[in-house]
Amino acid sequence: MIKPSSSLWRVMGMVLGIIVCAVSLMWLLTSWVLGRSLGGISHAVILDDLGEYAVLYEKAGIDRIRKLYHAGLHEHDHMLKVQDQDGHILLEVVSPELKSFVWPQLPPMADGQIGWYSTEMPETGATLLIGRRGFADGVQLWFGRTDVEDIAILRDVRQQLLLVALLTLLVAAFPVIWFGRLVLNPVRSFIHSARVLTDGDQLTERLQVTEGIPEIREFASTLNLSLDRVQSLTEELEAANDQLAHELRTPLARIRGNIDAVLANYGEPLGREAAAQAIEEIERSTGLIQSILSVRAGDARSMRLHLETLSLKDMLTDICELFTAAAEQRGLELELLITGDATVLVDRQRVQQAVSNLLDNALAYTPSGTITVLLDVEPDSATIHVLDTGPGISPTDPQRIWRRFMRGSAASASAPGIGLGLSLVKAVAHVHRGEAGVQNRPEGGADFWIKLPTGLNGDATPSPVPALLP
Amino acid sequence: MTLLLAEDDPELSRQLVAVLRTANHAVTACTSGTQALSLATNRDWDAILMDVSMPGMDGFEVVKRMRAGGLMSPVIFLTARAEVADRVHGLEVGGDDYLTKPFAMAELMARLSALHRRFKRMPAAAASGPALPKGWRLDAVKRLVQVNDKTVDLQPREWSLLDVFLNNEGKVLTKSYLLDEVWNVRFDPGTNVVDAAVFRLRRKLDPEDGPSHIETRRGEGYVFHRHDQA
Repeated sequence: MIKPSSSLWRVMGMVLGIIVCAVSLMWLLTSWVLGRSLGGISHAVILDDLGEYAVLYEKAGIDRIRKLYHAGLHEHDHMLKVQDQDGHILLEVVSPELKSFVWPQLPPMADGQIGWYSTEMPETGATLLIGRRGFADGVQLWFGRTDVEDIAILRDVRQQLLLVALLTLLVAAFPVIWFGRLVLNPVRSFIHSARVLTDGDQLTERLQVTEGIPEIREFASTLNLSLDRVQSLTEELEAANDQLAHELRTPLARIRGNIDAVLANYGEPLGREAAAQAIEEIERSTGLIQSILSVRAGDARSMRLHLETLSLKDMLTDICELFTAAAEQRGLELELLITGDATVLVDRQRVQQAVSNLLDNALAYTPSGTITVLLDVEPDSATIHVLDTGPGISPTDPQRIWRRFMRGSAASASAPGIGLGLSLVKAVAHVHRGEAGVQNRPEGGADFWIKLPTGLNGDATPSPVPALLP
Repeated sequence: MTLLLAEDDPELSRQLVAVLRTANHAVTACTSGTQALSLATNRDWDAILMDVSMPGMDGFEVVKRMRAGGLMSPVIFLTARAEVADRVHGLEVGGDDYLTKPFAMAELMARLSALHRRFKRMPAAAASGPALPKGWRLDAVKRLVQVNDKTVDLQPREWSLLDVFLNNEGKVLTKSYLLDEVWNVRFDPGTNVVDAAVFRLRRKLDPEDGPSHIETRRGEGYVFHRHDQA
């Protein structure tokens, strides 16, 4: 059995994997690229500001810087400091977030020189980058900013990326559903049909596609066409066989009539013996023809049944009585073990014949011991077992022996039979919506069984293929 | 008996006519359903042997029309169709018995006389029961056979088998006839069940010395003899 939707899970896993990989890669790449370029931008901003303040200072002195700084709009995390050559602070503006920051002691820069300093802010984890520039008069201009803003941008980008991933997942569900409905569902129904074709005796099953990709539809219709051909050829052949079987009866009847006449009017013992032999052969041929017809009819489920309601217990008692003398003659014991009874609606002659065939087999293949007929009654079925103490079924036989004209390995020239008996048993079981089978008994010997439904309205329709997706 | 035979196969028809005439029956043969229907209405037949598949009108249809016309002569269908359902159909349309080709002439004879007896409401034998071999006494209630001073207890089917033999003394009874009459089985059970049952009956009833009451005729069947003359 395949698991209900193992392929679907696999496809889902693959799609999910692809999306996760793609998003992670994008995440890493974005972080790296953005981190690099944001770092560059930070330097550029500081350089820009430093340059601007430097021009102002050189042209108009410290007051212009103060004015400009206060007039301008500033982000929260900026800081500015101007100190003279002795280290006295001329101007210091620090945004409240950076209040705790203590300016580091650094050697002064020469005129026009620019130095860098960066440190991590313990509270926010942000990186503070400070640029400083020296002037000819020994004044030092410091300007710093943190990367809080850059981090925010990065976070923003990452959030967008997650959103994109979720959307992609949603979109990816569509091909997965499509795959399930249009590819997996039809394939699963094909598997079911193929099983019916393999297990059943009929060729009427066809591949069904209600929804499916064009290729699968075409596959199904092409295969169905070839199945149609196989079926019609088989049916023609079967019809020819049936016709032949019917047509053979009349010539056999003519021959038999003449031999009967010989037997009735001829006195020589040798001649009578020959005539008797010929009649036995005709009877065997007639039986063969009848079996072929019945098995055919059983295969096609066109076996016409004469249904009667009867007790299986009575029927088995009758049939065992019929075989008692024959079993006794072979030195075998025939016992009937019936604990319950079941009422079934069956064709008495057919079911009796099926049980007879099993008993006939058991008698032929059991050299010594006991043949047991057992009735096992369950709530909605009854199983007739014919148990023997013979050699049992060889491991290669269980499938083979049910086929037409196949005889088990235990068969020998001394056991007559043409191998149609078990096919007939199966055919009879099938037309009664039952089953037939065989297994070896743990204590040795074979256990052939016929299972019949006891529900009188047992109209078993084949169970539909469970749908993969709603 | 006056018999009407409707059979379209000329060879089979010839054989049947020969056998039936040898058995002192007056046989009229025809080869189609329409002929059979008009002949059937012409005279009062003791029995009609009717093939099922004939050109024109088939045997089932002929009998259906005969019965609809009030003709009550007993009919035995002769047919190549052996299905139980066919037989049931044959009996439903008004047939009285059903024989599947190929059949033994002896079986046809046995069925014909059984049918005739039934139809004429003749008892199988005198009210005192069938003639018994010398020294036999039957107890039908206890299913006991008293053979001289030996008492033999018979199983129900053995009793039925003996009953069929006693009522057909001197006639050939085929295996398929016995299977049908005694076990109500219309198929070939494969194993030699009839032989075995006859063997058992013989062992129970036959005298220790002298010939058996039940003679086996290979290719034909069994014949019961009283051996009174011996």
